Amino acid sequence: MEFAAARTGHLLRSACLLTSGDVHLAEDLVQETLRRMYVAWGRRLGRRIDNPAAYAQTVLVRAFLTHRGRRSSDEVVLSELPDGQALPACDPDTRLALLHALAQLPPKDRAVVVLRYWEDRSVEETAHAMNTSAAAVRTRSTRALARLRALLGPSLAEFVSA
Amino acid sequence: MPFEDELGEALRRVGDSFDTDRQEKLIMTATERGRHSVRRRRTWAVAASVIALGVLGTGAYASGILPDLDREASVADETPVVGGERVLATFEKLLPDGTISRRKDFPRKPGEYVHVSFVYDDGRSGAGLVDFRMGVADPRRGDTGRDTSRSGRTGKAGAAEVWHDRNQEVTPDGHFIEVTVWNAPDPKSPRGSRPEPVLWGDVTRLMRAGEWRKELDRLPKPDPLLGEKPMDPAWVRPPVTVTGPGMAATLTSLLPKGTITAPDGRDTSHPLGPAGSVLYDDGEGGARVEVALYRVDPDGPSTQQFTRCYPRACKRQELPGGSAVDAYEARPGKGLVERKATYVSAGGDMVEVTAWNAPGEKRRPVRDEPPLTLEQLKSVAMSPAWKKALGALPAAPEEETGGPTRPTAPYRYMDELGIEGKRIEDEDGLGPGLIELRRDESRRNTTSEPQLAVRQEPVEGGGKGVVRWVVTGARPGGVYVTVTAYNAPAPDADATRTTPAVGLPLLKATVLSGLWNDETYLRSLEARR
Repeated sequence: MEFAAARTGHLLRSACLLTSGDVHLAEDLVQETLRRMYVAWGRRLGRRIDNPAAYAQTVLVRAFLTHRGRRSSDEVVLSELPDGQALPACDPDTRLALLHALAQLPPKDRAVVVLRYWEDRSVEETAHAMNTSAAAVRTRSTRALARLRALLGPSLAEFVSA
Repeated sequence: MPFEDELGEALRRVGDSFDTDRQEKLIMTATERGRHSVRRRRTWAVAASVIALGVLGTGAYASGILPDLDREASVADETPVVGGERVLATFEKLLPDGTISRRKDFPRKPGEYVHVSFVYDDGRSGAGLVDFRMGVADPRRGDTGRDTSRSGRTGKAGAAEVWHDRNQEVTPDGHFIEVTVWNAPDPKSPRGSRPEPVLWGDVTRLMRAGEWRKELDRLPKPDPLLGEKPMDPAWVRPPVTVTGPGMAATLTSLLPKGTITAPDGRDTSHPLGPAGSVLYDDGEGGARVEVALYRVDPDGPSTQQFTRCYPRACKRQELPGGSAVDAYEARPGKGLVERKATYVSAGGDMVEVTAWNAPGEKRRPVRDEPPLTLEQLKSVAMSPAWKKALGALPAAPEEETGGPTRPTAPYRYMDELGIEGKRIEDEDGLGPGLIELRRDESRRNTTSEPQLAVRQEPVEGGGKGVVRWVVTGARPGGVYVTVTAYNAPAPDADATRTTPAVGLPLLKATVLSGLWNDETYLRSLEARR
């Protein structure tokens, strides 16, 4: 439980980025992740999960991708965020722009971006989490970055330096 | 700040802005659901797992690659700049009649000189995005040259989909030029505005335009060893801590009583590595006993292959601390018996001791059996007496980055390639690759320092995906030798493996071998051809 308490906030933030701001879906995903973690721990009792936080993150990404695979036809690009109350630390326009840009990416590309640049995971770790090859991750990552750069361009630099 | 870093920072800020105060409810619900799942799966209780969940720890995951990002940022700062404005102006000159709009000059990523994009409209079939980058080619990032990749949403490009064609070329100096063309002005458009990317038939001309070469010629040449760990100076010239006669003397001291003649040895600075050899006679006839020392990557695939104990007679003994010793006996024919013990320590020290029942490997047997048993050879190989000589040798690079470190290879290459020659190598079993060697009698290194140049480049007009590593070098006062290793069985064949079949450390060691200036050795090579 301690683990859950310590990591849920982070998982939820990851999930919000993965779902490009759909907080309700994010909560569902985190709940599903915690459920799976619970079950996994029961099964792995006695065997060590080396890195529970990373493991949970992997479970979350896989849950997200499974969810997307299941109902990809339902995917809508959110023009406005359901819970768009921005914190003062975050320029609301760029926040929206970034989430909107993330929403433009295919789900797998978004997962790569979140894992690599939010989670700071290596290409290999990302590939493992997504059940794919390192080359595929590189391709997706290049493509996603090019796309994000085209979408956000210099506004991101201003946002970050602000 | 490179775009990735900005993105990471922006993600952190946006991520942190999400309200997560409903956590507790989430956890409770999840735990409840988890319990249900577990109950469904099993009939026995697993309440203990919840405790384990807490015990197994939190926060073990440290996302600490920030220093790395800092390093990348500083690399970007050091990279020279090519003005985006000038590049866009050059494009205006290069492009056929049409309109150019939406010019963008992007912040540079590590290793990039410039990154611009613009939308080009030829006025006939629609507009499309053109993306252009130049920078330092880094094979680790996939800059291997001649990269033509396409993307479509489904992989099958059609008129309705947005797709692009990326073309990259790496110059012999190690810069890359990359042009990517799209079939829409905006990659995120739902539909392509034209069936093919704009300027599709013209990409190669644009990529190879002399203007870019002129631009790149002004810049410093990238480090040809980019992507490689810095070379241990001992690779060029290890210190002489044990002399050749010293090696033979150490070997003698480890042998049982007997007559020793014809001691011979290579010192620790020798390009082939230190070795000792004596003719040992226990009373039944003088037989050759040899020892050779190496430093290898103990986990490297080629080391494992080398010490895997091929013959059935081979016995492997694992020692405490991760070391191992192999011993085998071979009977290659004509009555010759060869016994060999190979010791590899956990740290990569390798000692090979060989004894024959003849005065040499290719000589006629003078006795039935070699004068030493396998057990005796093993104890010679494991002797701490070799520590001093091994300590003089440079640590082998990791095979994953440095390529095979199989120790006898430089000698073998020289022997088999001769002064000028080629052979197809597939030591690691990953695919055949051509090795070519040339000794340039007309060029000598007149400086007092060893000279070494390494190029990693795609093969101009070669097969699909073919790259080569060209290593040219000479010892002080020595002639220049060039070894070229391909990742294909021929330059015009398609690549069979990702990197050439021989690693750079070996290529360097081969090129810098003192034997290229040893007239006796060269004559023996000539005679064999």
